[in-house]
Amino acid sequence: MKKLVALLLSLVLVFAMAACAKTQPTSTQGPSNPASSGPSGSEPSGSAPAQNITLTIAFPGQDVDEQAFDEVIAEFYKDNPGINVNPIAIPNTGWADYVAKIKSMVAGGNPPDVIRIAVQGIAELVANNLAIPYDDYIKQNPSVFNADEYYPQELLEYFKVDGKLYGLVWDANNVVLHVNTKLVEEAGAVLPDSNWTIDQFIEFGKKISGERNGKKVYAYAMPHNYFATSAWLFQNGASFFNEDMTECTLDDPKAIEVFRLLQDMIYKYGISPQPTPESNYTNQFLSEQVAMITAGRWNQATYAKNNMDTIALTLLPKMKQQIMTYGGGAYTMISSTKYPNEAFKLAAFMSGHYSQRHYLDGGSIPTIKAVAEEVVPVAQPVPKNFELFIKSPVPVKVVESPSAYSAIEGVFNRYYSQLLANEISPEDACLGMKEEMDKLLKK
Amino acid sequence: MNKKTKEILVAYGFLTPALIVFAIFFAIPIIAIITLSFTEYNMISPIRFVGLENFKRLFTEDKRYLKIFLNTLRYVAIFLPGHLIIGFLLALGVNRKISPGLKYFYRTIIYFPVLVTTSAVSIVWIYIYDKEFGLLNYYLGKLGIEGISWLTSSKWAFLSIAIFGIWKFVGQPLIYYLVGLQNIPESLVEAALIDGANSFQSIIYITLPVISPTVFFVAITVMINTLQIFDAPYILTRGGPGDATRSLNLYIYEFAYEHYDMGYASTLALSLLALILTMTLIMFLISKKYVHYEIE
Repeated sequence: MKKLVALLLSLVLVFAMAACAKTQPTSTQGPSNPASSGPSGSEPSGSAPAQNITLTIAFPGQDVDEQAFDEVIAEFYKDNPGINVNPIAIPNTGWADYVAKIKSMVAGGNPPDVIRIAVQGIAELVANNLAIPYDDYIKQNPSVFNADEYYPQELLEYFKVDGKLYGLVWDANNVVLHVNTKLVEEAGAVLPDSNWTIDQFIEFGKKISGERNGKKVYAYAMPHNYFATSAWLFQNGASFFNEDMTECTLDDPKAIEVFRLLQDMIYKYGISPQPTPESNYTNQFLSEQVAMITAGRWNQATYAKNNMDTIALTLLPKMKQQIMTYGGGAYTMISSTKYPNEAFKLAAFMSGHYSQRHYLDGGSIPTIKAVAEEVVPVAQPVPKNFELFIKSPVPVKVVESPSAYSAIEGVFNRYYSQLLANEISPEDACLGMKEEMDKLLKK
Repeated sequence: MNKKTKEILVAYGFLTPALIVFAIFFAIPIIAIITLSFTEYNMISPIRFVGLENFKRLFTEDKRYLKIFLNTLRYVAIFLPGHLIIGFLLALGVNRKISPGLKYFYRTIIYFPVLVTTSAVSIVWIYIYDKEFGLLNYYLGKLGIEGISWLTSSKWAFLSIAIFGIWKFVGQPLIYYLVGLQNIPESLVEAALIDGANSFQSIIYITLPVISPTVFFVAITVMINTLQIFDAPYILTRGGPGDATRSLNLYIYEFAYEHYDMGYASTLALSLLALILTMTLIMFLISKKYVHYEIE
């Protein structure tokens, strides 16, 4: 009898394990629609109003502000009874990793309906037939999207592939220098005008760098990412790729010159600390170990939390030219959604005025110009020259987004880590990257 | 149903959970990687059969593979003796005739890092290792030693990961060794001491042969775990600079989740499986000579 009981118990264990086998990504458990009732998810899509369906929306983990999301989604529910929204926060180490996880969710048969995606990932999603173009939906609902309201216009173009729009743009970030004016004053230096040259930047950096009050201070935290490095390349008239992103152009002497400059900032001029892949340059900035970082507006909430109010913004220095580099995020519908009409409504709402005003007041730049002009000047702490977040005084360029971005970012990180460790020459790094990136682009 | 049949059914009943776990987490994935290694598959498009193409690529075209393969062996060459020797010395120390409270304290202190997730403690170690602002270089600086690029130089990054890895996981062998040491009959050690053996001779000729099955178990588990090393180099160095600290597991991850090349990632995984099997077999062959399962 005891043995039979043991047998039964073991079978129960097996079934219990089987029941536990299905795992879900982290759901942040957003509010349910008060106007909904009964079981969800059974109604097919169509033009008729949806009845009790659930849409899943995916965000990068670091973007999730539950309170702001609940507020925004509560507003969405007012006009959309019958649609429930389930937010999922996806932890990630960068856009490449985020796209990989979205792909895994699709491959695993558990895809989201709408995702927040950066410009770096859009071409890859489209190349894998994972996104639905919005053009037909916008034609039917022209009031939800007015392209003329957005800034910068160049960003909208980057969410178009073969003339079709795959992302409803929501937020933007531009690469500007954040300068801690307190450290500048302590060093007895004066921040030059924003139309400064690279020579002025290095001279300024040398004045700032050194030991102060027994503490090491560097002028500039070297960025360890594709976005900021793109910005430096653009300053010298170089770029990672040609215009149609079919070929890597890092063999261009202008590109090599930029990589040499970045290496020299550490080893020749001594104005930058040697970074590790995991260096948190925002922490270094907050703890006054570095006086300048290249960042977007995403640090705004962190500055507020740390009462850091001695920040001035300025442009990257001029090499061959001065360019404002933009990246940005949009809401994209995933092609496997069963409810495209409802997913469109959600994406349109999430990228619209209300969402931008309530969600982006302390983070990235709202892409609707009127909202940015309303929100940016009042969000505390207001940095000096905050206007650079609203309008660029120099030409704008958007970070390049090849269709093999995930793999390309990996190649960049590998060579760049060697370059910043001074273990490869800029020439070899650039030629090595070109060889590998060209192969990936041809694939 | 006779008694024997019932017993067999009960036996299978107990085995079933383990068999299901084995099938789900071992057998099916192994069959899957063998199958996928003959294909091209990016998780989204349909699978395409490519024959031996991935193997040809591995052995004739992949310029990075050999370095990464050797890195993986290098990890074993550092971690295996590190864990075996340091774990054993720590166990001898903790097993001395000291107060039970002190013994408990040392055991807890040494074992504690094993309980903490690698990702959490790695963040702390990144700050310790930071070249410019790190704790380690701060104190080295006090001694007049110039700051070392612990995580960003290919010369030092491997050692940094090894120090971290041994600190993090040495508590595991310590516990195994302690169990082994506590099972040594005191009469054996006393007899050796009466015969004139000193402490060192007693360890070499009594302790080690008696606990050789434990040593062998520790060696096998450390070797297999080290061949699959992923989290420490992923978090501390991302496998860099370049490929300096990249292990086979990191390389598999790169192809699977950056390139979405599941076919080639599976081929790499098969090569890791072959390496683990070969090294385990070698260890078992060596063990026949040095491992004693019976105390004579």
